[in-house]
Amino acid sequence: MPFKIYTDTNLTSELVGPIVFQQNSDNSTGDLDAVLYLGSVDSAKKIQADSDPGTDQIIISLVDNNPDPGNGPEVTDVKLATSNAGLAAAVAGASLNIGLTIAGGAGSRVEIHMRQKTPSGAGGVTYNQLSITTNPVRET
Amino acid sequence: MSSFAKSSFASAATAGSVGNGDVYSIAANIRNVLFTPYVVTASIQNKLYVIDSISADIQNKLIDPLYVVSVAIRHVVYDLYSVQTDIRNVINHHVYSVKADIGNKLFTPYSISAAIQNRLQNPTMGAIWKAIITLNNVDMTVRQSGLVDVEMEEGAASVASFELLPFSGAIDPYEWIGVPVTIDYLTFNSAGDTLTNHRLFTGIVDEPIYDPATRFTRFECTDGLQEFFEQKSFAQVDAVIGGYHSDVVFGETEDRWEYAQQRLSTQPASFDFDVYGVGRLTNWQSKAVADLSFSAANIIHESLGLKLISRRDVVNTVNIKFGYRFGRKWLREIGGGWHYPRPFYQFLSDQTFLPNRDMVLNALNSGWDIKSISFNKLPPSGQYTNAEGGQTTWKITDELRDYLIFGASFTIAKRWLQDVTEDYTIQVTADASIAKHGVVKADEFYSLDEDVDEEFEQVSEQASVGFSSLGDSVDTGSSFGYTPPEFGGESVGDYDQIIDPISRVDVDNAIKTAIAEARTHILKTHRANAVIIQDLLVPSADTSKTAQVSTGEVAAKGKVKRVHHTLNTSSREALSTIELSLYQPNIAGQADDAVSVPAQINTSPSIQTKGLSLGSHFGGRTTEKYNPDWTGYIGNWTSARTFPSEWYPNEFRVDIPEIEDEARDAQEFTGASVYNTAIPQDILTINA
Repeated sequence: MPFKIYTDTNLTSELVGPIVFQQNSDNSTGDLDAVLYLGSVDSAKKIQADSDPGTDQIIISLVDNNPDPGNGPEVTDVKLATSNAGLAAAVAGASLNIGLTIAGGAGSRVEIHMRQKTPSGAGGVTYNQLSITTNPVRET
Repeated sequence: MSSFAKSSFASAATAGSVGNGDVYSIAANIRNVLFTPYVVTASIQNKLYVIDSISADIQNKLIDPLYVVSVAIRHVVYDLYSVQTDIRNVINHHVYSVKADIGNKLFTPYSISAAIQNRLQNPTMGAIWKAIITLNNVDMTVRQSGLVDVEMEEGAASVASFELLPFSGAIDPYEWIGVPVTIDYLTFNSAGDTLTNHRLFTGIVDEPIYDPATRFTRFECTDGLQEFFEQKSFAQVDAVIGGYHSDVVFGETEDRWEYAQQRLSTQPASFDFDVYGVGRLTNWQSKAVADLSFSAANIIHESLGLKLISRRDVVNTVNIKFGYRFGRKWLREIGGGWHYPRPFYQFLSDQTFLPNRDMVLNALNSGWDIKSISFNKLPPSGQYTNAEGGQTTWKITDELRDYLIFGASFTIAKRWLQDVTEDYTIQVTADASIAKHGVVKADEFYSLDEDVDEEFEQVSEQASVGFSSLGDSVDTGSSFGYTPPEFGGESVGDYDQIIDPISRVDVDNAIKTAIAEARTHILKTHRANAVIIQDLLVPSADTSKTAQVSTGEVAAKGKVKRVHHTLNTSSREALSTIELSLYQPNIAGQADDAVSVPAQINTSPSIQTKGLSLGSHFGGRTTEKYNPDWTGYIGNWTSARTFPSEWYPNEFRVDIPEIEDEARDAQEFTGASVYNTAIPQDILTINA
C-alpha cells in the first residue's frame, strides 16, 4: 500500500481530487486552514528520500504550474507546517521538512497543516494550479 | 703348365634370301691367338719340434689346530648433529573465483502529491433577492406573502413553509397535499440582472393550512425523508445506510424508518436530503478544508452564539454486558461387560445360578439408550468334559439358552442438554474524554438465546431393543431409538461428545452492532458543542458542509448541523442561521479501535467420565456379607449352603454414573475486552 495523503487521522479517507479552498475574492473570507495526513496504513512499510535514504529529508514543496506569475494563486499564498500552531511562524511558500523516515501505520502519519490566504484573482474563477508534492521517495 | 695356340674360325653366310637357284659365297674370318709361355715356382719350409719332460716338487705343511679366532670390532662412532633441512614449501595457489551474488533491487521512487484548488467567489451576491416558489410545478411567486422559511437539520427531513395570497373561486386545500414544491433563491444586481440562482428546497406539501379569516393559505412542506425509507425494503435500506443492525440490540421492527434510524445509530454519520431532494450520507467528521467560511466581516453583529456540552450530557464509557446462551448437546456413550468368572467345564462340575437377559436389560433401564448389547449363550446340549476330566451330559432347551446368559457386553448412550452462557463484558471508551471529564458511563445489556431442541434429550423405550444372532453363541441387539452423534461434535474425554451451535453469525453481528452503537453514542455526545452564526442568506449552506468560523472571539471548524433560512418578503431580509457541531476535546494521537468481535470465550468443559465395572458374587459358600453396592451379577451356588455363609439375592446390577454437575448444570463463562474510540479533532478555540 503506497503512502498517500489522507483527510483523516486514521488514514481511512484518502484525499480524492484536490483539496479545495473556497474564498471570497475580496479577502473577506480570510485565511483558511486545512490539515492533511501523509502516511500508509501498512505499518510494515516506510518511505525515505530517494536521493539519499535516511540521510536526506523528505520534503513537501509547493508547486505552481502556472507559468504566468502574478495571475491567480501563488505558492506564497500558502504556508505549510507540521502543526496548526506552526503555521503562524511558517514562511509562506516555503517547503516543509517532514523527516528522514516516515513509517507506515496510522500512528506514524505526518500532519501537513496548510494555511491558504486569499489569492489575488478574479472572483467566480476556480484555479487548479497549486499543489503540494514530496521529493521522490523510496518505499521499502 | 703348357701353353698352346689355338685357332678357330667362324663361318658366316651372307644374309639374303635363298631361293632355289640362287648363287652365293660362304666366307669365314680367321682370328689367331698367340700365347706367351712361363714357369711358376714355390719354396717349401720344414719346422722340427724337440720332445722333453716337465716336473714340480710337492711340499706338505701341517698347521697346529689351536688357534685364536679374533674378530675385529669395528666401532662406528656417530657424531651427534642436527640435521637441518630447509623446508621449502611450494605453495601452489588454488586458483578460484570469488563470487558474490549481486541483488539489484530497483526502487520506484515516487512523489506524493495533492492538488490544491482555489475557488475564488464573487464576494457579494446581488443585494436584491427573490424567492421563486413553485407549487405543483406552477410558479406561485406572485402570490407569496410574508415569511418563507426553510430549515434543514442533519438526519431529519428538511421542512419549509410559506404563505400564499388568496385564490379566487372554490378552494380545496386537500388537492395540494403531496404536490411537489420548490423554493429557489435568486439575487439580482441593480440593473435587474440575475446574478445568482440557488435551490433552497425541494419537497412536497405536507399540510396546507387555510385561514378563513385572512383567506391566506399556509403551506407546510417536507422533503419526505421519512417516506423515502418507509417505501424501501430492508435490503434497500441496508444498501443506502450501511452500518450494523441486530434484532438482539434493537429489537424487531417492521418500520423501515425506525430500522434506518437504528442502522444510523451504529455509525457517526447522518442521512438527509440535499436541496434537490437527493439523499446522502454525511460523516460527522469535518472535512480537511471548510466548505464555508465565516468571519467578523460577514457574521451578523452579535449573532455569534456558542453552546457547550454539560458534563452530564457526555458519555465516554459504555459498559456492554452481552450474554449469549445456547443449549450444549451432550452425548455420552459408556461401554460395560460381564462374563461368568469360571470356565464352562468348571460350571458343569460345580454350578451356580446364572443371570438372565431380563435382569441385564432391567439393570440398564435407567434413562439411557442401549446403543448395542450382546449376550453370550450357554453351550447347547451335549457331552462336555467336566472339571474332573470325565464326561458330563449337558441338557438345555433352546428357550433357556436364549434366556440365561454366560456373559453380556453393552454400550449405553445418553443425550442431554446443558445451558451454556458466554458472558461478554465489553467496555467501549473514549480515553481522551475520560482524561478530560473523568468516567461518565452508560450501561447496556443484551442477550441472545439460541433456540434449543428439547427433543434432543428424549430417551428411546427399552422395549424397542431388537436382537439378532451372531453365530450360535452370541445374540446382539441395539435400541431402535438410538441416534448417532451429529456431525461437527467435539470429543470430551473418553466417553463424551458435545455439539454447540455451528453458526455464530447472529451473535457476532449482535456484538458488533452493540459495540458500533456504543461507539456512535459516545461520539454523538462529544459533538453536542455548537457554534451558531447568522449571516446574510447563504444558499450553499446545508448539512453536508463543513464550516469554519474565525472571529476575534471564536475560532471553530466543524460540520454544519442545522441551517435555517428565513426570507422575509415584507422586511426584505434574507438570513441564514447556521449551526456547527463540534467534536471536543481536541486531542491528538488517540487510538481508534475498529469495531470487531472480541475473542470467543473458551467454554470447553473438562470432564473425565469413568467406565463401568461389573463383577460376580456368589453366596452360599463364603462368609463375605452381601454388599448392596456390588455391581455385576450377585447370585448363589446351587449346592447346599455351608455354614455360616448366607444366600445372596439373585440380581444383576449396573451402577451407571450420574451426569456430573459440571456437565449438567448451567454454566457461565466470562470474557472482557476494551475498545477505545478516538474523538475526531474539530477546532474550537475561544478567546475571552
